[in-house]
Amino acid sequence: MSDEMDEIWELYADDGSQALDAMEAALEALMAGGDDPDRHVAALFRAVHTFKGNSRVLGLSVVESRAHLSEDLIGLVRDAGVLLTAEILDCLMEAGDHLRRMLDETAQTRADVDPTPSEGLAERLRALIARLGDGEEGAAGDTAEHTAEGGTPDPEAAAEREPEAEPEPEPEPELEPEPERAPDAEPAAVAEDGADPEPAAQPDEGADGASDGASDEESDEEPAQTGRLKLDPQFEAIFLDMVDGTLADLDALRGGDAGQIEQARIKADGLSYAAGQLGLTVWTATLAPAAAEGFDASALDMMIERLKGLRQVQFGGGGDAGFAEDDDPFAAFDRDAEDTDDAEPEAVAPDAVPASPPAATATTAAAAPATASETDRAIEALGPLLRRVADLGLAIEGQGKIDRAALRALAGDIEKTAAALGYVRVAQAGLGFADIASASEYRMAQIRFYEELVAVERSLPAETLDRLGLRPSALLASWAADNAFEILQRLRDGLENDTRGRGASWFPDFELLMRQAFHACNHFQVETAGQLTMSLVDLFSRVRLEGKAPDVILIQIALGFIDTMELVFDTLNQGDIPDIARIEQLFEEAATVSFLASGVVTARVIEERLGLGPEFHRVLSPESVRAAQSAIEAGLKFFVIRADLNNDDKMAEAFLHWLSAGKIRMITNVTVFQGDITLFDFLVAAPLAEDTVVEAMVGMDPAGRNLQLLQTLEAKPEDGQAPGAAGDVTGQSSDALPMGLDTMRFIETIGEMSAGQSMIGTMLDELAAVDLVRDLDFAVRQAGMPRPDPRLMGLLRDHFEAHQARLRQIGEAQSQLNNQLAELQEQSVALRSRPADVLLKPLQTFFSTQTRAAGLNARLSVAGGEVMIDQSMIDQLRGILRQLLTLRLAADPAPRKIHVSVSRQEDHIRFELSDDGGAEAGELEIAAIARDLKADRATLRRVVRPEGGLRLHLSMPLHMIALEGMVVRVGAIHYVLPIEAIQRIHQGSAQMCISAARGRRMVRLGEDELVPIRPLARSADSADSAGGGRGAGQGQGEGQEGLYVIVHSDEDTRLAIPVDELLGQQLVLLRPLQGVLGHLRDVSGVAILSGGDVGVVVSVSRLAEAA
Amino acid sequence: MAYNVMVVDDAAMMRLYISSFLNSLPDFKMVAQASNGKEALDKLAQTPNVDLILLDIEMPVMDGLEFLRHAKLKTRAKICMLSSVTVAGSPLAAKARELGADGVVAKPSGTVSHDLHEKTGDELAQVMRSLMANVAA
Repeated sequence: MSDEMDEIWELYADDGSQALDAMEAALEALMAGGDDPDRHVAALFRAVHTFKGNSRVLGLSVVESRAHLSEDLIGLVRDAGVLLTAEILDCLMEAGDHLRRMLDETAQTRADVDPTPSEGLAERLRALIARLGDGEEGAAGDTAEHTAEGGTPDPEAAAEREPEAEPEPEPEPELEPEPERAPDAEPAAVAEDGADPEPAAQPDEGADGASDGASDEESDEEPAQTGRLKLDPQFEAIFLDMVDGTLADLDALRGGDAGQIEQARIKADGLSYAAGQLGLTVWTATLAPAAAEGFDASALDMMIERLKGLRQVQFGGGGDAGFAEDDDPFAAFDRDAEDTDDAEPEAVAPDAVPASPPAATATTAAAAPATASETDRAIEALGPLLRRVADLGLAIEGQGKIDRAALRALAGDIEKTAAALGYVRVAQAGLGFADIASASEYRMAQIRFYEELVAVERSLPAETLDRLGLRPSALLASWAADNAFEILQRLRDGLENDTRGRGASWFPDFELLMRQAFHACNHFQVETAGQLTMSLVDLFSRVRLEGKAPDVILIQIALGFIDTMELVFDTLNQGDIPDIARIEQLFEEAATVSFLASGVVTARVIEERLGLGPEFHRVLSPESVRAAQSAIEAGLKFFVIRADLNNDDKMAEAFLHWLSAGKIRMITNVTVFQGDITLFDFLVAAPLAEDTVVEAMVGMDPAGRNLQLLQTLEAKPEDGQAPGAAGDVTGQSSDALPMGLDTMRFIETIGEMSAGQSMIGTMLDELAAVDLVRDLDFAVRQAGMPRPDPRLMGLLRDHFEAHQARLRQIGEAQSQLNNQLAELQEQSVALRSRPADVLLKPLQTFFSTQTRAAGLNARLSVAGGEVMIDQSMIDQLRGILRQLLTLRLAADPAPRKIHVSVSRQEDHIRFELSDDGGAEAGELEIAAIARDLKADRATLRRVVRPEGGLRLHLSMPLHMIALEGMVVRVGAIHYVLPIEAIQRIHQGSAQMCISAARGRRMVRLGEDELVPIRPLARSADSADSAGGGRGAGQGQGEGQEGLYVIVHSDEDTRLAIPVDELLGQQLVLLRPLQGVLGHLRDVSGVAILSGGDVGVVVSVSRLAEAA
Repeated sequence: MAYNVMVVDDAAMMRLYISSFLNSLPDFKMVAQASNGKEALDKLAQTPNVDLILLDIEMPVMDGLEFLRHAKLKTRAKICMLSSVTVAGSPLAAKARELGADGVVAKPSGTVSHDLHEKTGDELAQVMRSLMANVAA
């Protein structure tokens, strides 16, 4: 035994002892009935899980099987809500004792233990699991036991077993034990010499490993290859039905003429296609002769016999298989082989037989395997290869060295073995190992290999799989679980970076990676997450088929899925129970995304407002929702009409014409089954009274047999629609999803309308303020005409005043309208906003993943998660913050604590990252990020903390906010000062300007109240200097009448801004600066003012900073 | 050459609308129709040269998802779900994907959508052509 093996066994003994210590400690704590039993149960599960994994790595199958059963029992308590009873605890204590003895023995002998002494324990565990789990849990640990015990017959176990194959972190030993295990694991001989008293395949249990029903985790495995079907009991039943039908047809065509042989060929081809769809390779291979040249009556006879044999093996009794129950199911194949005296394999060699028609099927064998027993033996050759793949992977991960010779040898061996079996795609996948250059490449080659093998697995008898010792589907699920974070990262990279493509060229690996994520979800039994993956596959597939690029909402949901799954997988890896509420929420969002993309409210909103019955749940399309929304706004009534359109074509035609041609607006309709009769419930809207609708229906269906008004509905007031709960961490109610660019344009349009309204208001105010009598009097005098009669002037004044009163009324109505527009504008902007937690929580997951990968022990705390941020900014910030965290984690020494806080100023968002790591690292990179940020008017400052560590200040200007501002004029420029920053306004020449220290000019507001003067530029020409530099504008902008606006920043710095004129308060929509104004430092942006002028929005905080 | 389409929908009017829509597409022609999954399976046996199946979900006797399971084994035809309950990303749409639906399109106005051509026609035609293009490729 090598030194390395010595070390591994020592490690096994140490780790095992620790795991069992932990198991005992947890059991004792649970028996003592202390606080937090969930924590102890989780610890118990982890301990036994670890022990099981270690045993498996060393091939200690009996030990593993007992640990596995124990783990399953604990799993029932942890995951299935089974109450922890004294009986369970006693049983687990007993298991712990057994496992301890087994550990001592195996560490000594370096071989597996005799199963007999622990048979009783295994039975008790199995019985308990079956009882508590309603039998669904089965005897999960039997897999290994079977192998270890030389194929001990246990037909139940063959169907119930639940193998797992999670690679453990410990290095796998080299394969010295394999030659020793191989003879033991040669149950084929046992089976063939009749030692096996019962065939493993049971009449009512699928024998292909994929038919065990819902209780068998691996049988639920999704086929990895896009387009292949998931073999479940329903598919299996359909396929079996097809097999029997085809066999009956083929029997009937036996001995027929050429035409009948051709018919038989077509029938066989149909079954072959079905088998291909399900990845049942042995079936496609057995049916392949039908597609080959020279398919004749004798070939048909032979094929029928083989099919019957296969049917018997895989589906048990039934049909005229021609074999007695006790017969060796492979005997027919063997006889065929003997009869043909080796000629048969030659005749069906890969080159001689065309590929089976469904070429897309992953593992469609190009050739029929010569005999089942040959296949059986050859398949067994894959067992060691599987182990070599796992071992090499562990070695690469553990040592980081790429052994090219070993990889090439592995690739060659897989290719040779798989090609001999006709598994061309497995062979191709095997060749993928030859050119590996990194651990990550190895992992991808590994999963490709497993994915191809899963299809093979589905087509094999259970006992053959038992001989393999490992199941590819379990390996795949386990692999996906182990690589879940990398899969998610690749998805994230693709979603974030592959944004230019559309249709087929957009992120080609998306569906494949999502299916891998699906495997991981299934491994962890997170069913909703699995459904969500398929839902996202659906959404993206539609976009791809339509040749489009996914829109931003869809990308956001997918990224949300990734963020959430990182948290979920992380929690599960810790042995804890994840909160899947967010997954359910995302699932709901995925189901409503098409509505949001269409710019309409969700179907649920309409369902609730109309109080629709369950039959209308989830049937409203975006078009239907749009129609319903429009009908609600128009104040129409809604009607539910049940229609029988089956028997009276004229009536049906008239009804459908009435729906589409009159005043009726069709919203949607649903199918209603009444026995065998299909009826439809139509939801329509109309500006009609109920009796009018009934009258129309009677006109079309006088007997009242086919049309019936079921309900009249009116929309509930919109106030009843509660917005997203304030306490919602993400703020992502299904109806408040991030909106796309269209929303931005929508908000801008409202802003422009608001500005236009303000302009009209100003004009009306001006008109109302005009003294028309005085103007008339002036005009008359100017014209040298005699003054009108005072009585006429009095009359005119009365009329003019009445006219102006009406103008004022219009002005007030306009003002009211403008307020509503302003409110709408604010609400629209708020809709785009999300709490910073949407950013921070995934950032914590990212951080923990990064620290784990780097082997660091660091903690990230966050604050300010409630601060609302515009959606577009979240996208930008996500990447920047991750970049900064990554840089800081690379510091020397690495930080142990990082704190991220978020705060919002009047016109920008500020992030502060402070840590206690080395300050030197990443200086250049941070400077580069700061340079890039300048283009967006954002700043990033790096401050070395005196107490050690670094602080980064990131300030991002708000892109789109509605701002209540005071519009002022300074020279030729209109400025907007945020109302919330204005403290007071001083006007009058009595104010004194004094010169203070360092030449700064101050204004005295009171006895001891001095405020520095900060002038703004008076013209566009001087905007550069005045906007940016302190003192450059000194003397400029000083109000002629000593008019000052006193503003204060968040840091309580006060400034006196001299202005020429106050133009009034107004709500403006802040737009980022562009073009020549882009370089101005002390302004937030620009806004369209009433009257159409452009106002420069002043950033008080920046002015204060500059001061 | 036009692709052969089978329409499976329990609403006679809907089959009529779909037929009318298909008539507007030179590259597709309806060769068979059925009012439920079971009938569709029988028709498939009689009409083996179907290239594409437009399939509703909610049908009596045998619904669309059950038919999908059969059809994915028994025909090489592409299968596009066309149903009022397959709004993008919905649970049934996801289930249809899992069972192997090649394309999924939602009817615009319910199970009997008289405005299919007007509102969803372009999308449906594009999906149908994409599916057949993949076959050709």
